[in-house]
Amino acid sequence: MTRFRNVRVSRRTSYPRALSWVLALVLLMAVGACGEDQPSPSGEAEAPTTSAATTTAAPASTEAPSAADETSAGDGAAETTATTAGESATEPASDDDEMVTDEPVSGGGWVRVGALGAATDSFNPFFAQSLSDYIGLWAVYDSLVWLVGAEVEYGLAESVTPNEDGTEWTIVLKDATFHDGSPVRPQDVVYTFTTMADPASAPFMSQFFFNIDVANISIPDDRTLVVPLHSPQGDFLERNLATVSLVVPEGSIGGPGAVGSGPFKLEAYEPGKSIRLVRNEDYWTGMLPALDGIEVIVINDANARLNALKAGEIEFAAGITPSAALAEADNPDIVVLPAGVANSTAHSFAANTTLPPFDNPDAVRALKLAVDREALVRTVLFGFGEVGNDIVGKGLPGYNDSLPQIGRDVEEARRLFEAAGVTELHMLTSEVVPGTLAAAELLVQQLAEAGVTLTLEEIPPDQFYVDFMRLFTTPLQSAYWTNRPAATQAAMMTGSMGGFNLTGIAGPEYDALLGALIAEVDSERRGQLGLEVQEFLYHNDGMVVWAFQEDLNAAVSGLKGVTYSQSAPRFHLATLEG
Amino acid sequence: MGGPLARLLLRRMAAAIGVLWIASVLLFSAVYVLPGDPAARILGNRATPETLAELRAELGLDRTYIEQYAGWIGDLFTGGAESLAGQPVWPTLAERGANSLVLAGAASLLVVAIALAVGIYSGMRAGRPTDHALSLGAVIGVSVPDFVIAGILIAVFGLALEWLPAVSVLTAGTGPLDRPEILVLPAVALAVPAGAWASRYVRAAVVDARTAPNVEAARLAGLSRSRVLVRHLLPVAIGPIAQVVAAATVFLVGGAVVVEQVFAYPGLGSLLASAVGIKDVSVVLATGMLMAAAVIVAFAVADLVGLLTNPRLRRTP
Repeated sequence: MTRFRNVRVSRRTSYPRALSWVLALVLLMAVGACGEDQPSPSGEAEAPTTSAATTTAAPASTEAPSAADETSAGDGAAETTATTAGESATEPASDDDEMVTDEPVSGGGWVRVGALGAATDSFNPFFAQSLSDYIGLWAVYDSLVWLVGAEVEYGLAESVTPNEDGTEWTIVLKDATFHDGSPVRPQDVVYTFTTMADPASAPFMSQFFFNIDVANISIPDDRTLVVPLHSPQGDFLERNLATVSLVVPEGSIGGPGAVGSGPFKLEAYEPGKSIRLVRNEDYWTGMLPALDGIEVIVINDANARLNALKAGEIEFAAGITPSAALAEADNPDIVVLPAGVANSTAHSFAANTTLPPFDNPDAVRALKLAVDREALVRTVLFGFGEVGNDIVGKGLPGYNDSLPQIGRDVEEARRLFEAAGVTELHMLTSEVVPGTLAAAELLVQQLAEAGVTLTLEEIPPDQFYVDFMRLFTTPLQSAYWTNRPAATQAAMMTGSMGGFNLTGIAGPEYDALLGALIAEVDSERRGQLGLEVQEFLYHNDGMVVWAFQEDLNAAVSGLKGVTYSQSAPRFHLATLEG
Repeated sequence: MGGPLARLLLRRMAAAIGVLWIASVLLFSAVYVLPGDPAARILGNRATPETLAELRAELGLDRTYIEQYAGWIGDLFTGGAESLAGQPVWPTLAERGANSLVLAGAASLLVVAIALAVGIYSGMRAGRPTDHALSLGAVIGVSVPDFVIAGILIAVFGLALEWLPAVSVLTAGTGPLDRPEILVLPAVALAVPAGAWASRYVRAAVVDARTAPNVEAARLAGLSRSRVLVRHLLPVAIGPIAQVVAAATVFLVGGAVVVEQVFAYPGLGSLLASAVGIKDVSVVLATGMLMAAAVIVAFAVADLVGLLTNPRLRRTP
């Protein structure tokens, strides 16, 4: 009986038997792979099953980049010591032709940069959003002028001069060429300005070009253009051009084949993965970058960026957390690079001076005195920041250093709050930038010490800027600003015409002062007016700029000479040593 | 095979399409009711009421729920879906999907290995100390979140021992198969919870199958232990095991969102994570649909394996 049943079963399961063998085989392979330890299994096991799936991701250029990658990946240190000694012959098959052709500035190696990016990035200079795109764009395109730290430097522009009343600006170009050998012409600048001024093509940048009367720009000769403005502006150079003035060849919107006039050429663009840039051997300034190239690798997680740096997968991590910076302070292999206060985020509490209780200057003054800025920097920013003095623009041109630093005075704050009848406050807050919420929570304690109960209302970051009515009718809220020159910030964000005037600071006196600043053409006089505007804000505005949080980056210790332009690192002057 | 099987397959396929449709409605609704405004997210504190309204109109955010859903489904089928930045979504999805498939393939092999090795071993020794030890291990494996496992793997094998890359980044022009070593740690991080979970079911299936008449008969007939396992026990258990392994793909798909982000691996999971971060609705929806489809396909394949290995299922429609 048992035997009979057994036979029947075997016969009926002929198909499953085959399957079971396959399964057993897979099991054996898998168990074998497990036992063999991690280094090899994936190479053997996956290759056959998945090669078809990835052929699309491996185009013809696979060999060259991966070979180059090995050089800098495996032993970046070894490679760079060799090349700094000027021995390009020590890399046999490594970096194909680039290494051979550049005698004067022999191969300075490759720097791989880990930075935020998205798979939907486009390398469109008019619509770029992510940091990785900006690192690439700043390398591929040259600008008329650059904001370097606190200085405005001329790039493609030889001069930028206003007429007497600031209604017309004359830009003279240097003798520059794009990567394809064609000259940089005034027509290219006109095209760039026109595209930038169109909110549909450049939603983030158009605000800096609104005031240009693009239809009436004239080109008197092949190096000069005269730019008329809708309303007079004395700070067109600092406020507008220094923010963004890269020049795109007429008709181009960048993309994977982007051609610029910058120190690096775009070699490969894979959105959300990599931006590969090689040195422009024909760079028009004649000052070729020392590095052979840069590869921006998209790593969105700050910890992953740090891990990649520590593991030798990248040489520069754009953006690390303050806690990581503290933890790595003693690591000899990597250097934490604060980008300087010029490249920072200004953290603020914005008190609206048109709404109770802050329409009473005593209440504003009390708030300013109750805030313990030092403690906020220490605990919220882990010490990686500088205390603010209620004016945006620290470390940048035109900042008013002469205003006394506001310190904490709990007793005076308590007295002023009592005088103003303030015992309770309500604050709108949102973690729009990291640290905002922690700062708000600390403010609750600090105000409690001054006898005021603060309640917080937290809203999701992507809702914070949706409801304009709420933003402009909220007495107290968290706010942050990209640190920009004080005069620029004032012109953009304060006064009756200010776009994002969260504190409601305006009025005839201030508007007149600000108007004079904006229209002043004479730079010395404008500088003076800028100081006066800041002084007015210092005494009358409800913006409590409690700290400037520097952008924190980290790099291998041999990487030197990285500069920053508006928080994006630039590598045209960088060198990599062993 | 013939009629009944074909009918069954058709019915399953119709059900799969139905499930996919329901998934699309749920997914779209979830994104629709999610607080926040992509246009406001894009413009941040550079927004003005006018530019905000303009951008909302451009992105189609001012349309009704039904209009937006219909537009999205239309784009999905015509391939016209675009990201917030105006890039076509499908080429990105294809590349990221291929990368994820490679990682999921590697992880699946590990899942099957872990599930079968642990499940069969402890199933065959049900109630003995080794079974208890393995069960405890499996429970721990399921309970520890994948990002913790990933963190431990990175700290130990990536940074301390330096045996394997601590991050799984790819350079220009390279795919995951050019550097297969980058797959190991994320695959292990994905496979441990899924494999541990699946091993519990494999164990149960094996325990059940041990008492099946044919297995008992084979054992009584004096067949060797391995012969009983391979020829008689596994054929009985394979249907449920296939289902469980298919269900484990849910872990792989879900876990990929976290694990790919932690390892900076350019797959669908990291794409979804960054798209959610910037509220890129069309990317979120397309990625979500692709992931839902992956799970549905995995279950369909498991169904098929179950059908092919179990004649009884074929007869009862």
